Amino acid sequence: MEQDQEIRKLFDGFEPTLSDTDEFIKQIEDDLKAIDRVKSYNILINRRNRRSVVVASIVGFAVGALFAIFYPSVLESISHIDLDSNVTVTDYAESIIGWLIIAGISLISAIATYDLSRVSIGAGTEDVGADAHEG
Amino acid sequence: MTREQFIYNVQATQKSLRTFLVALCCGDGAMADDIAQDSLVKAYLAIDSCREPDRFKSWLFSIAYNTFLSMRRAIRPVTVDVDAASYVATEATDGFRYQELYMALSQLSAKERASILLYYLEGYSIKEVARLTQSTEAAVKQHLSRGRNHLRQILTSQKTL
Repeated sequence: MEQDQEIRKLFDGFEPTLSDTDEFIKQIEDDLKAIDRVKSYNILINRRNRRSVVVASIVGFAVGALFAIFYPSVLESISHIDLDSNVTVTDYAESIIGWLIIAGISLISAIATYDLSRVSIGAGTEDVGADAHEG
Repeated sequence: MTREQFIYNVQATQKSLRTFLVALCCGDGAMADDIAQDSLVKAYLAIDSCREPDRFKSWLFSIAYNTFLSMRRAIRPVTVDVDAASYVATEATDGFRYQELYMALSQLSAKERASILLYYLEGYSIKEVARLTQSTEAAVKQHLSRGRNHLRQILTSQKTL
């Protein structure tokens, strides 16, 4: 108990000189504003990415569907490819190649759309920092 | 909690937080300010985990203590000697005024120091200190007892010098 009082006395009136409070708070405010700016930017980027993924999926699906409709003509054009005389392409292989080409074109369209939509949707958001939500 | 509310709460608690950190850093005001800034940024990022706004202060102290531990591990052990105390403190007079205390605190382990400061300086109960330092009440009692003995021995030997 006596020891307790001794130690307590040590900290009685302990008031070390601290750096300027206003400056400290201002620094914190600036840090927090920067955090809010980054947070809003991330929210915007995530939203934009989601939108781009949706647009790219729709375009990829549409391109795939369009090519699927014209699948017989695609198949025909494959069969006209001049192959070496000793290579025989079965109907099954022809069909596989045809679908692979359609899948490839759809995928490329989707990726290109994703990239393009990110650029176009992102235009004009450079000043996102200024629009960071206050609070 | 909005940014304005957070800053309002910080304004109310910053003095005791910084006083605690200066003592925890044995008078190194610059390090204490760095830890305080870091802790407040961490707190703001994890504001959703503060479920009891009434306990904002103790929640902040807990973050500050953890930040102190990780910063201490990353930088260097906090040691203060007679000459250093005068320049690490915010003001020379301050270093001189609390020189003996900082020297004595620097010789305690981080856990002992934190327990002593939270209990004697901030007035937290043993249960609260245990929660803040993420240890058990028995461990805090042990840290307090050892810390008290160490402090007493150090301060007595300083006086006899």
